[in-house]
Amino acid sequence: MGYFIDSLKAMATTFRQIFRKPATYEYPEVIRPRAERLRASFALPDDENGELACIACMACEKICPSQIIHIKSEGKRESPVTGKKRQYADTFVLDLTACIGCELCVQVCNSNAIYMVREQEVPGFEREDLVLNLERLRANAKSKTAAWAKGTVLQEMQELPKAEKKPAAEKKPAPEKKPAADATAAPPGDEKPAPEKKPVAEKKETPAPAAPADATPAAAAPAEAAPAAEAKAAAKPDAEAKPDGEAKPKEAEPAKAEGAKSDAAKEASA
Amino acid sequence: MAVNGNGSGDGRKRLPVVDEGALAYDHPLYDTLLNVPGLSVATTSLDALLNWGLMNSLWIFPMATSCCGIELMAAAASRVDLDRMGTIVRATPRQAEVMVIAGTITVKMAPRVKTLWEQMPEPKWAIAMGSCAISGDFYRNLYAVVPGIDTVLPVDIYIPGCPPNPEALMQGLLRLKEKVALRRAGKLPPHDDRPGMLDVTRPSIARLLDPARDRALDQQQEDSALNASSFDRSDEPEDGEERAPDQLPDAIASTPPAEIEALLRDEFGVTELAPKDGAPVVAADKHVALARRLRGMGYQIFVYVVATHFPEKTGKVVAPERFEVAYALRTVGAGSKLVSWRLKLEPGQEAPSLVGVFAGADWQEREQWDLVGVRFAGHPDLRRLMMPDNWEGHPLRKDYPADKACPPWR
Amino acid sequence: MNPATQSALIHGAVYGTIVCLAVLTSIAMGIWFERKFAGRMQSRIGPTYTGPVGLLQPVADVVKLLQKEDIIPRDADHALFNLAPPLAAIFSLAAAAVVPFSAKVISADLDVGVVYILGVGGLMVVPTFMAGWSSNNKFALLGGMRAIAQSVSYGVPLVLATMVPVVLAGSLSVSGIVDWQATHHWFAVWPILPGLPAFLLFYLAMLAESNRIPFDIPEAESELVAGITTEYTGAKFTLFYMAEYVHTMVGSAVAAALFFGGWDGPFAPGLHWMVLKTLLIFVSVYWVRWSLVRFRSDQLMDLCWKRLTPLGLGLVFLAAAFVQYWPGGAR
Repeated sequence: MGYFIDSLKAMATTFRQIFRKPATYEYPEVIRPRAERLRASFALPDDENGELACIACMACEKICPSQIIHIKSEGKRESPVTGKKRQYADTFVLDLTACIGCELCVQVCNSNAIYMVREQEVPGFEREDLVLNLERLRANAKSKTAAWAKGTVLQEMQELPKAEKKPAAEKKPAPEKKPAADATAAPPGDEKPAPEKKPVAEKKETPAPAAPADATPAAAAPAEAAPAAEAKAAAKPDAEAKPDGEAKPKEAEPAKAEGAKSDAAKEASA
Repeated sequence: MAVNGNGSGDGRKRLPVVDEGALAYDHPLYDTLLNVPGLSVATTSLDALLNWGLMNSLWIFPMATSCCGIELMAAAASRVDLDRMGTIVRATPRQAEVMVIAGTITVKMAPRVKTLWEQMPEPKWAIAMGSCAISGDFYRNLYAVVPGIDTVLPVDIYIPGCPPNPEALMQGLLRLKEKVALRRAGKLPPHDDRPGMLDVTRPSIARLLDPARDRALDQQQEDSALNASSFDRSDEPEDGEERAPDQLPDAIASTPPAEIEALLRDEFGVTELAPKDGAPVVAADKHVALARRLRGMGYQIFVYVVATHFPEKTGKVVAPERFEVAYALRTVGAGSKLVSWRLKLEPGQEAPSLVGVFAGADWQEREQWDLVGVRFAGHPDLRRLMMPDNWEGHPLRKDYPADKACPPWR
Repeated sequence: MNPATQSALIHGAVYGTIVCLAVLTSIAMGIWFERKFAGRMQSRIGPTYTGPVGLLQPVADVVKLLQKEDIIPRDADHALFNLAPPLAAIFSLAAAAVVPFSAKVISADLDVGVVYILGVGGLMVVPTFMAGWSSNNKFALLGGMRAIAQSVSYGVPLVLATMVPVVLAGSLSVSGIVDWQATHHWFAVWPILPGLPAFLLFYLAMLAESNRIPFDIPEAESELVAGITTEYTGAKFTLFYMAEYVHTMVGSAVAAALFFGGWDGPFAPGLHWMVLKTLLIFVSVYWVRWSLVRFRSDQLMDLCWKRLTPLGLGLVFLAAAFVQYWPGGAR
């Protein structure tokens, strides 16, 4: 009996569906909005001088896991536009038949000379139809929409962890128990645990001057773990109470986050 | 196309286009028929009708072996809806026109694909969907992967992508419609050789029909395969620190239960334990008796037999070449206990088969013979299981070159 | 040959041809409608490329199927393999002979029309199993076996459900039953207790007889490739495909005649009413098809023998009791 009731429900569902608008995009006529990160094909853009941006550094050819990029260069020569000597990619072949769309070639490109586009290539009658040479790649740059990012953008996105490493390495030789002791000394009910710690964090930063400002709390964070956790409860009045500098409330946030993280780490190790 | 560096064009045969004018029709009726007034008009319109039917009713046979198959399914679903152009998916090759090869084809699968292709009635077409089907993708140099399905059957449309999205598949089918119309009209689909890419010397499709096959690369791959088993010890704890023991539940830990341990020591003379997990190493001649005994004690499930090849040189360690075969049995029911043991074999030494004790050992031993090359003495049917019957060598041996030649693909 | 037989022959030939053509044309449109209908149920559009709103899609399919290569497997039983598809088409169409499409449009007004329909409908299992056996294909054979098990089992509830209008109307002739309903009530409306359940029983059994979802285990694409039609190509597959639709269409017409008064209806000629009722039931079959999932083999048998058959027996008794004891129910 249950089956029949469920069947009726199913039929009611399908019946209601008839009067809704179909979800179909009628493909060749209407094109579904392409996702920002859809990576279907490649393009070689020109630089600001109207020349091919690629300088044939071979970085993409080396990193390609499918080994489908082949670049040939006839060496450096003077640019007809700027007059400076630079290298040109005279042959650039990208064999789309074995591409996996991993975008590594885009990520390693320091000169933003290759990026992926959202529109797919037209399916071919032969394998050769899917091999992109220099002309087709340059034409793609003019006719197709770029996917989400170019080389330097992707590289910047990955720089943060690098900056964090340095202070972490410095921390290792001297296990910092001092600030932790300071922190525990501070009474838990006190309003000032967090502001006290911040100066400590800033001190720790100074040994690594090259590191960007937002990486510094991370360095001191493990040591601060316990007090930061205590500060969590008092964090809000804290931030309101100490508007003496712009930097301080800003720093409080990452410190808190890091504190929570290292807390978790401590629990795990315990 | 003489020196096509990209390797794909020169190996395959183009389908000949029938030149209607050159065909000789000897039958006298043929001339008479040609002169019937209006007949040519009738045949032309009939031809147009037949062609229209073909083009608007391309039924798909899905040869979906991996992730591209998901996109193939999505193409038949609401967003793209292949049914709009009259395309439905048939499960039997007998009722389909278009075989969509969506996914990596292994050398074991290829003959099956070919069979299914031959079971499809004419007229029929093939679409290679995605990088794996087109060229074997970056597995194309791997011993078990066909470097492009067009080495097996004639492909009409190549859809690039990894995987192509459903719209790309639909575009491919629309291109196929173009091609059907062109073929019917006796024309070749447009194609330009684009000489710009021909001077590239390093072929993408490396192994396929490559006369100047790079021996150095072979050697390099062989070496890297041999060194692949060296352990990366960078994440191991430094001295002084203690490492938490692996959190294995009792049932999975391979150290045998106490009573088994005593049994092994006293009756089967086990003295040696495997270094990493403490599994006992049993002498080959006592191994069947041990299995029978354990089975009597309630270890009735044959869990696995896994063979490993240890070459002479493993990373920096040099030791005589050997095979280790690991066995595991398990008790039935809740709180299941597991016991495992090892055999150490010289090259050429055979392991006694356990098929007489556990029927489940049959295929597992076949698999180990197939892939690692350990022979099992007394196995009733020791044939290859995973690899094609005509395969040479055992691909999971460490000295097996990664792109070892196997006819007809390499 | 006496004049009466002669005129009956001519009558049968003329109307038979008309009915056959009408049924075949309407199933072509039925296939188009089903694909559109299924599309809308799944939030799709369905065929649009072929002709206006895809109307010519079935035509294109048939044109294509007819020019496909005709493959007969080497080890198949050639005679049976070739005989099965036309037999399926003939048997599925034959039942339409006794269905009254209006008071006059009926190819052969048999006195035992109901028995004829059940007999011819039961014959459908023969070409089905012929196809399964002769293909020399394990999937086809399994499909044929399942088809036999299913058809034979569901023949019982089908007969029992058909008995209800027969008992109520006191006639074995289909046109007789329709006439009785036209002068009294439609059986699906009154007497509602044996009438409506009997219609549902007939409907389910009809789905099973014509191998429709949720009873399509003889085809069962996910298990049996394409069941009995696994080895059939081109024109022969077209015949099977067509037979399946014709079977459903004729079944719908019989259901309309037995339970919904056939051609009886106000304001419009009888033919219109009959066609309307038939098409509504036909469409509902596809509504069920695209909404439900398939039964397992054992569930199928369980449903038939433990549920539907006792229900059918009870309904026949009820109908008899109604005729005997209900005031005004007695004929």
